[in-house]
Amino acid sequence: MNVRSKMRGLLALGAAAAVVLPFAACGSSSANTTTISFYSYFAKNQIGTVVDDFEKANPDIKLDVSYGQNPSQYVQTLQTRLAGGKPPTVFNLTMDNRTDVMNSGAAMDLKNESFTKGIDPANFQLFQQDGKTYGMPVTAWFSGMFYNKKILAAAGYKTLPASWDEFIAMSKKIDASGKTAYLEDFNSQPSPSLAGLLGSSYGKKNDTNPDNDIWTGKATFSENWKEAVNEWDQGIKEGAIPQKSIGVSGDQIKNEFVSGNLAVYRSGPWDISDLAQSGIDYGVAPMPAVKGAKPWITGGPDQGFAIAAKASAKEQAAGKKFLTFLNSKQGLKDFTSAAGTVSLSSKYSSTPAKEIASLVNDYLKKNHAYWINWGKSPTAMSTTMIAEQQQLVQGKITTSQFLKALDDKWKTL
Amino acid sequence: MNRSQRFLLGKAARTVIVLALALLCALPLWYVLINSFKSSIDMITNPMGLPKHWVFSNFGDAFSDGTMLRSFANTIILTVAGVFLQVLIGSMAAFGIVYKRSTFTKIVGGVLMVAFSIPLQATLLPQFKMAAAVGLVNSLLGLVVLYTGSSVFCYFLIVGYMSSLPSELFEAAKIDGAGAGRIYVRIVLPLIKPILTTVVVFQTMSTWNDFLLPSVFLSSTDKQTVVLQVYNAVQKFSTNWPLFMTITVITLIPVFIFFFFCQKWIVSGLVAGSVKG
Amino acid sequence: MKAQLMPHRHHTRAANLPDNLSALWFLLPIIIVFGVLTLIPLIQTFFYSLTDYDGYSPNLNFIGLQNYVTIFQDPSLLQALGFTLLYAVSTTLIITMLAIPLAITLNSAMWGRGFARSLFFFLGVPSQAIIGLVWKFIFSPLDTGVLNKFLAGIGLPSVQWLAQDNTAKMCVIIVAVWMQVGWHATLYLAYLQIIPADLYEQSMVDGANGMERFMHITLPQLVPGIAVSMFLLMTGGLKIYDLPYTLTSGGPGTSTNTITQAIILRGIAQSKYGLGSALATLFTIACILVIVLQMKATNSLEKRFA
Repeated sequence: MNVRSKMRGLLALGAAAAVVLPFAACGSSSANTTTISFYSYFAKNQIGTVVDDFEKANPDIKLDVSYGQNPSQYVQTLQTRLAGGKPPTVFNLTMDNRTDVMNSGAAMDLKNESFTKGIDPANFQLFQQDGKTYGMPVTAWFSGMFYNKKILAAAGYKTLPASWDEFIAMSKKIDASGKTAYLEDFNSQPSPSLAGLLGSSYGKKNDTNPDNDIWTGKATFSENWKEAVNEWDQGIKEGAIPQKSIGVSGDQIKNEFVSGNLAVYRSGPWDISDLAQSGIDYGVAPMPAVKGAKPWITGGPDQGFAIAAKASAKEQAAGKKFLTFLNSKQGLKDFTSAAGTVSLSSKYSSTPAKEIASLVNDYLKKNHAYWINWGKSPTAMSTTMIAEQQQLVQGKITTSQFLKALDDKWKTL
Repeated sequence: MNRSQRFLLGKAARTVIVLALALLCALPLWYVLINSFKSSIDMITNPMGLPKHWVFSNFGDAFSDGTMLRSFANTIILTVAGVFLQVLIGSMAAFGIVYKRSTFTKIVGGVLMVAFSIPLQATLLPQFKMAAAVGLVNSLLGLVVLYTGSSVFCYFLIVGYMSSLPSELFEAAKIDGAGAGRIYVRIVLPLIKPILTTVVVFQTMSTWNDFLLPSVFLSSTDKQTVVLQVYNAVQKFSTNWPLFMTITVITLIPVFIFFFFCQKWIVSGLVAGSVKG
Repeated sequence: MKAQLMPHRHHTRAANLPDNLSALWFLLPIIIVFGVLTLIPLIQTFFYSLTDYDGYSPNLNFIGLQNYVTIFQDPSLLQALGFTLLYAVSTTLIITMLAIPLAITLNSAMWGRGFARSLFFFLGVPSQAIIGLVWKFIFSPLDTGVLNKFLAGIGLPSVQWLAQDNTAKMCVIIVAVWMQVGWHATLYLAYLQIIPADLYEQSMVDGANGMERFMHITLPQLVPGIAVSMFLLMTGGLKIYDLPYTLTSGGPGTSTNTITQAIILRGIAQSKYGLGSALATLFTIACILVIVLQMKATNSLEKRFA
């Protein structure tokens, strides 16, 4: 081929720097070890121990791991590798790429694999299509409202109010005292407080499969999200969601909380050790709810693990061993304790830190946890949602324009 | 006030103003450096000041898993080989254009300018497919080949500079019977040392710091570059920023030293000065 | 006359062929690199732009110019185009106006010159993640943000820097200038070295002051350097992706979205690789137009000074 011969020419040039060659050539494994590649969505300090312990338990398998930097970079790199015909043996189905990867047939069907046992079938829902299962989640994430007890007490509150209306009233009191009541990061994700309102709104209707009607086309955002979005907009108008939240990162919000300037923020297990070090006296509560509803938390199953359909039988066998290890007592213990997540499997019951145990026991385990898991084109939808949210907070659009924008985008995808 | 006093005064005033401005602009660099010696909570409550307690464990942590040295070796190989080829190909092309202007060189020059404006993201997937077809994915050699793509950048910087050289130089050398190769090596390369150094420094920095290509093309742990190591410290919800800063500092110190010593060469034209005539 | 010219022409013709051949040899490596790493991928990108390729599955169908039609019907792309142009033009102008005086200063006698040069050059070197982190902290709309604290210190009200469309655009441009000005000053520093010293000596004799020397010697002599630097800034500006993304993620709303972000968002995030490719093709054509215009402008500038 023409391309090939030209590449060869370049190769010859490149060989001038002959130092490279020995490095390029090495990496071949000895006869009885299988090396498989794993492209991880999870960071090294979350899943690194799992990898190490897996290799200890399976000396004949070596995992060649690389880590994604952020959700969108992960999706982009994985897509390039899949489309280029060099898929990693094991990879993650994320909330942003699961539908596309499932459609493409890049992941193998895990439906009848014994290693998925112990995980409640409901958790596989996000990774299933046409009767096939393409990914296995082993953990769940969750988050709630963290509040500074001192600031709340000064405003006359012992705990965080359970309803959004009361939350707005409380925000006004706190803001008047010179502190900031609430900040959230809706610059890189859908608004957590809005997600909390949506969850409670679905809970009020006893909808066990939130948003599914929108994904299947039976309902629209304008219908199903109206109540929550209107209440959220009330919060904007009354100052509970300040405009200065735009352009503020999650790290900055945490800084404000730790320095005692901020009364409430959305967080999860990942901040507990820093908060303990800072000596801030804080409490944890679920997300404030819409009128007449019980509060929910934000959370859901984590990214799933998938095996490449194109991998060789030997590699797939090794990949299955890794997934088996992930859904084992040791694997789950390593993973949940490093990542601060909750085991979804009956093979290991993780004990959440006592500060946040109530979120797990009273909400997550009762399925009172919600997050927007777009039914298709997740990145496009969340990008649209983020942009529209910011315009709503800036007062440039109305709630019905916001909902219509989501409906319109959904139709084009 | 006599002339030398005025000179000294000017020098002193310039020193004060420029250094003050440089330090002000460099505050973000200070932020990176100083926070690598802090704990995360110290960094939050006291972002710009000196650490309350100096923490050195971040540096130990950065090297703890033993892959850091390997990553350094990989990055050095990539950078040295990549930059050498880029500058070689780029300067050769610039010389080719300047040496003998014709319709052909005009066309090549124009096409190369266009090449310059294409965003890498637009050609990434086809490049990956090609590299995969010839087995150059997940190999340092493959990445070096891809880095030669930046020779267009080098070409562009060098050709502008070369055109400013007086053309009589070539003519004189040709009359003396020197061939093109000889003129390139003996006359042109020494004369363009300032721009060559600038290009080498800049390409070293950007190759050393490149994230996009290694993250897409290198999937093995033992082929990681130092920048990939930096990003391993990033987490979705809470990044260990002090560790991130530390790895950044470790990553950048070699390039900083490299630049510090190279910048003398950028002004070496003053000394070489054969253009002054 | 004629007789005198003839041998000369003969001579040139004879010399032309080997010279052209040498030029070709020197150009060959870059032609190969360009062909393999740019031209062939670009042709493939154009091919994809005529299909409904999603970037994942191997199946694709020809859909003609449908992708191009879709692009011209998308209002959010116009917004992205607008900001990209604003960004490219303003950073090009501001950086050029700051980098030249900086280079001249860094070229004059002073103590700690190497250190100052290194610092300025190094401003843009740390990774985007860190630059984003630090500058978000500086431009924070909160009262605890560095700049707002400073404003409060001199008795001014705080500004919602990244939370408003116009100030957010300005912040992105300021950070871009900060990142690149040192490197372009370094480039000018190299160009300052080929200004023949006797030009200055002559002007000293003529009694020209500093400003006159700058206007009549330095600036005209720097024109080739200015052309190179502005070309780099312009192409870099049109291709900008990382910086607005780390600083504002395109917000507030879509006010700091850029064309490259749109290409990636459509091509990869929406799994419409064909559409993304069409956007990339159009973008390349647009860049060529802008660059040709810029070349024309600098050429006439060079002629005027030459």
